[in-house]
Amino acid sequence: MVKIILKNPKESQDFGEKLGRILKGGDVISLTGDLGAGKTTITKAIGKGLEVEEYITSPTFALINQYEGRVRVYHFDVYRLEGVEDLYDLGFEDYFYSDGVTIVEWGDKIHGLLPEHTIHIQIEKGKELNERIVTISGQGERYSEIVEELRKS
Amino acid sequence: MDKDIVTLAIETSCDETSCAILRNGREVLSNIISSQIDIHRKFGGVVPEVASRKHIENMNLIIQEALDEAKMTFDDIDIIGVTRGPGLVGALLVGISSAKAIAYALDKPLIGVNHIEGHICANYIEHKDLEPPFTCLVVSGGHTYLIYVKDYTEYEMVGRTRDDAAGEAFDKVARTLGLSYPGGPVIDKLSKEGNPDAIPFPRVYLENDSYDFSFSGLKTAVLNYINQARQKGEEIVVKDVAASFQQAVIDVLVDKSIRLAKERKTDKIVIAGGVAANQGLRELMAQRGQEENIKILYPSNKLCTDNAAMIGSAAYFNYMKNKVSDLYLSVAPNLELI
Amino acid sequence: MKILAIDTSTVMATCAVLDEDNLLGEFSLNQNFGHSENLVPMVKTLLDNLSLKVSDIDLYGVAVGPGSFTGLRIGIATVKAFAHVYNKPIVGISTLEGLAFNLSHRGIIVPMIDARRNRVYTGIYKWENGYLNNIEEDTVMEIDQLLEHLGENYNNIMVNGNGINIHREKIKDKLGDKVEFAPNIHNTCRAASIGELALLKKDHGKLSNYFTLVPEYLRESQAQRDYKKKERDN
Repeated sequence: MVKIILKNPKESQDFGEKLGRILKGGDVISLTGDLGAGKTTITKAIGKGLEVEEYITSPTFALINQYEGRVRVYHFDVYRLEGVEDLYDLGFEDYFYSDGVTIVEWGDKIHGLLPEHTIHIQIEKGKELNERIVTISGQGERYSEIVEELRKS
Repeated sequence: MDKDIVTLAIETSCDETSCAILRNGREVLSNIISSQIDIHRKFGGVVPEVASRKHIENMNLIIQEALDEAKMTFDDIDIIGVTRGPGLVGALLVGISSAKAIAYALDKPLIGVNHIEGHICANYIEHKDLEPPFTCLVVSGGHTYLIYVKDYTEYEMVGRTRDDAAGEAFDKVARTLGLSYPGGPVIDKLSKEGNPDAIPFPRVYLENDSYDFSFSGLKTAVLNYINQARQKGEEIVVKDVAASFQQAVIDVLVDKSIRLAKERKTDKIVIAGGVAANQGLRELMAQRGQEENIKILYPSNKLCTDNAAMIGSAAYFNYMKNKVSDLYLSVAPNLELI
Repeated sequence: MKILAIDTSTVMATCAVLDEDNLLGEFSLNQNFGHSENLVPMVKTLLDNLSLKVSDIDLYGVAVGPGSFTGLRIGIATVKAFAHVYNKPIVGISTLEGLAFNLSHRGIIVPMIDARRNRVYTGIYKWENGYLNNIEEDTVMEIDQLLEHLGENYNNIMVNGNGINIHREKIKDKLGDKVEFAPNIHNTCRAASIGELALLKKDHGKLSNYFTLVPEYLRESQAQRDYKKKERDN
């Protein structure tokens, strides 16, 4: 588990972009945090790092948006899915195990459906107004690689 | 016209399974729509996997119903039109797979249609004398475009949203106000009772000469207003928030549409897309149109929703311009109009 | 009688034409291309080469799952539309039964299709008196749970399907000399198997039609969910 403190929006932006530059096809990112913690902001920054040129907007209407960047990017917002996973197999596997990068906002709501190689990122508000505390956790080789890359400045 | 062209059209881009039969692009012989709205309302929005499942269950029943109502069989069909995007991948795949198989089985031309173009063409069905050129405002859940329609199937994109679509702002605001899905019609209804001047939400016009839109700032302003009022424990007058928000959206939409129509000297503005059913938008546009001597046209409510008739109309006009697809036609979830 | 069969439940897109006596032609592509683009052109190539048209087909066979939800819907939507245009019957066949039908083996046959997250779609089949019988019905389960079950209850086992490539070491490990692996060419879905099964089943009241046929998605049973939850909590 790795904890990073982002002091201001610029640092949050840089963190997201850097992570985006590290990510490659097959990676799955789960973002967790309260309303207003900045999940969509981080997602946009990750998208920039992945060279997505389109405007990234929260997929509230249809759960998933898809963008073309350096690799294909799938952007989920599963806020309203809590409990639905018990009713349906939602067919998300086709995305989670694809050649694209998948970013899942509110990933904790469908915890049981996320693959083992998911990188979990929790965002919390810090003491200062724009401060964010980011906790990264996961398992496997890819997780270690990503953390190592993030440490390089 | 030498011979009538009969079109069979299929639309499955989101949560309506629809099939229609048309004669010559403007005459609707049948337009069957099976809405899944009650299923998705439980989830507060469309769940793609659920939508795809309903499409495959209903598809052939809907096709048969469309043929029956038109009093036709497959033998009467001359061309097949189908939505290829934009929309949900899994949902689009059901319609496109069916359409390709029918086109090949009948050995008839297949035309992949842009869903947004379909919304514009809904007006050719509604207004039998409508001919290009005209100014067109397209507003739907995912799109906001200001278009100069040069000719059938020929479009010039003059303005578009730089961030959120107008419909996205409607949905997000409705969700935050705790209103039921889908948010647009509910806000429109509430707005009739609310005071549109109660809260001064921002109107974003961008640069002076720009025809582009931006709704992300307005969306944030409304969400901030609601959150702050809640934090302070102030009462939120939902109908006033709805009315003030809606007014801020349609003021900009109408202003820019009128300005483009005057600049291009078109005597008509055509409204298209799901949000074309918005009463507030229709009324303000009509009022401003009257002042400027510009005719305002929009489809009836049934043709504003996602339906296959509009896809059939677009397929016909593309076919007349020799824009035909082959059997390798693929879905395009992020398809742009041009 | 001409039968057109299609299976798009896995990465393999495959279509075949048969009559009562012969396989007339089969076209399979094991590529990660979209089935949606290629399927109808593949069928056209096959039929063109046989000088057939869709109107010449009397019966359809289609794999109804389990498998990729999207893949299943592409195959089923296509077949339903063909059948609808010329008002012909369809027989829906389990993808797993189709896989098992690829093999002739004296013991039990256990096809496995990868269902991700260490799960496989699987069922247990056996040839008896010239018929391939379903011994345990199709389901989705954790690979560990399946291997435990097989090890406790069966001896002479042959496995196939894309699941065995992923879990080969584990299967060897757990089942040792009780298990044989099918050769690669019998490991993938084949429309010819779906077609022959459709022909065999059409007379046994197994006909569906283009209105009612739907994919078999195979959800996990409550028992399996509980098992998984228990595993997670341990």
